[in-house]
Amino acid sequence: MSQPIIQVSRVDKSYGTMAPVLRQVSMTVMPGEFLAIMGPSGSGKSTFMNILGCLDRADRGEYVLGGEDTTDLTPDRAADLRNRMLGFVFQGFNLLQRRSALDNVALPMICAGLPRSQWDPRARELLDKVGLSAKYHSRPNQLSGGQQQRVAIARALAMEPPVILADEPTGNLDSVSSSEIMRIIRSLNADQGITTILVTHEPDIAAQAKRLVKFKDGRIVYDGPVTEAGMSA
Amino acid sequence: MSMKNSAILGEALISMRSTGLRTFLTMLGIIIGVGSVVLMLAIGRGVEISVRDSIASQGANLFIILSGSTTASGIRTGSGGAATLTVGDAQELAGLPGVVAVSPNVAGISQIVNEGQNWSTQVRGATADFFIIRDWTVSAGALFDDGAERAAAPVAVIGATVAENLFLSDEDPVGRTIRIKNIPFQVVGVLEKKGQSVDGQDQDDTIVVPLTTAQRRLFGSPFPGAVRVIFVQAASEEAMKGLDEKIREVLRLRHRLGENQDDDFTVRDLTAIGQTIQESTQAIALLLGSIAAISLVVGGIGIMNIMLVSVTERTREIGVRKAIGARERDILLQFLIESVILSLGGGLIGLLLGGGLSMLIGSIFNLPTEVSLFSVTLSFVVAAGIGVFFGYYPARQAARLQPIEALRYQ
Repeated sequence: MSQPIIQVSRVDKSYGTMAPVLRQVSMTVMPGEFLAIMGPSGSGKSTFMNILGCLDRADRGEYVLGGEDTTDLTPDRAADLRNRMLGFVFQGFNLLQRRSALDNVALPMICAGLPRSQWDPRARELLDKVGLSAKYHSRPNQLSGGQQQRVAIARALAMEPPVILADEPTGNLDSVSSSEIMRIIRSLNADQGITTILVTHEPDIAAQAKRLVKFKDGRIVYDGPVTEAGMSA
Repeated sequence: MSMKNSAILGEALISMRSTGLRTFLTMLGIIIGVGSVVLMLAIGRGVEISVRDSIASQGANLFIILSGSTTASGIRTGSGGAATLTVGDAQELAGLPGVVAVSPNVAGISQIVNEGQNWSTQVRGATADFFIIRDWTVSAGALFDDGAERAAAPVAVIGATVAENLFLSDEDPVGRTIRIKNIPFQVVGVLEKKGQSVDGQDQDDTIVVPLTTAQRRLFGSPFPGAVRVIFVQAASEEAMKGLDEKIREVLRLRHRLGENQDDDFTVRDLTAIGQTIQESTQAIALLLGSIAAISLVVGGIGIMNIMLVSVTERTREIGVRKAIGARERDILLQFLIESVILSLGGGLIGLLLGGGLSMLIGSIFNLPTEVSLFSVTLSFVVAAGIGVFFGYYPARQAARLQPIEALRYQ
């Protein structure tokens, strides 16, 4: 039995004096799993994703990512960990507007200090992989939403992270682009064994995952196979 | 594992290129500041050189001894009013240590006639050493020598202004005869043009004849050998120190002045005039310098302001960069480099502008302005310093942004 890639134990999180956002949340993810996280807005799923992404820190509890305890990371160590371990795909794409697709994909590698001779061919290869061979030098505003999200996926894969975190990746897309993006995400998980965690509120998107985690009022109320019962929990 | 510096530099350049006009306007304060520093230093240097040159043109390391005032029926005649100095005084002063040349002079205003032309100018009777002291040569003909002096020859060396006014432009004055106080003199040489003196007088509006000739034929004198002025040239600036005191001692002794009698001569030192001019130049330079300093501070605040705006505008970009692994140092350096490029760019443009303006002003006012290596170095160091000083705070703000807050920012 291999080690879990993500282990969250009894995590609490609150902002100021408001009601706690996360209460005693625990979750274990094994390498190669494909999770969908669902829940109404305010249920704590976004905060949970931020903690999984080392963008935010839990008040209490423990989060071990790839064998490394993230509780007391300095900002720079957290940045390195994100760079190495995690690929982010956002709802709003979050590409740098004034840069070409190639530069955007290269950014994590540039942050890691790789020389151009390494990042340039790798960025081209990644863009080829997501079907944007003709768009190396296009800027985000010259690309459709679906194309922008494909650039973002290529960027997320740049450092070959073991985990992809996708926050509503199809939220801003039409149904054609949406199914194209989901096809790519599924293949990352199926063909490359990348652990994939995606947040969505659309049942048909969640249905493509292998495991469903539902949040409500800061707690996990369902964790199991993707079933009708799970969706309505 | 951290970003390469060259990559950070590239990032900074790209984001600046996209806001061209704003980048330029931000630089403007630095441009003006550095430009005026460079201009001020260049002009200051130019004035210094020109003052030094013009003092040197009157004779380097020079003491001018004027004969003293006399009192007749209660009316004091002022300096030079009495011919209390003599050729003998000059000969004795020549023997003082540190003295290299001495020239006793008489002078007066006379009407000069050449055929149909006439011109009123200063006629100076001087020994041949006068030309050495003034470092003055001829543009045509020759200077007179000691022989002409001994023989009291009726020869004259004329200044360029006199030549222009007495002769036509295509005439060669050398060898021609002019009349000074109706006495014929042969022109043996035309002096090289010297231009204005420190006090604005045309140095070329003069005629020099041998001292003996002047004394015997032109001006007469109350007693033989009397002169109005003695020029004493010291070997060096060091040799000038204390020499004026020795000159006074010698002259007081020769003039048999008692303890309680005033000097019947005045010893003047031209470097004092130069110092006064340089002091006033320095005062102007100081004024310009403080304006420049204020402009640089204002420019720096402008950079800080724009960098803070830039950080706010790019909050989301900073969030993305942090999410995908940019360290604090990477973000800090990116913004810091941007502000240093802004200020250095402003410094460079200011340097070119200040240099160009100083050349323009130099050519208009005929001033030997000079952009020194010092002012180039100074402007770059100051500009870079401003970039770092005023850029650090905004850059640190950017580097310390929390990634989730930055990503949430709309």
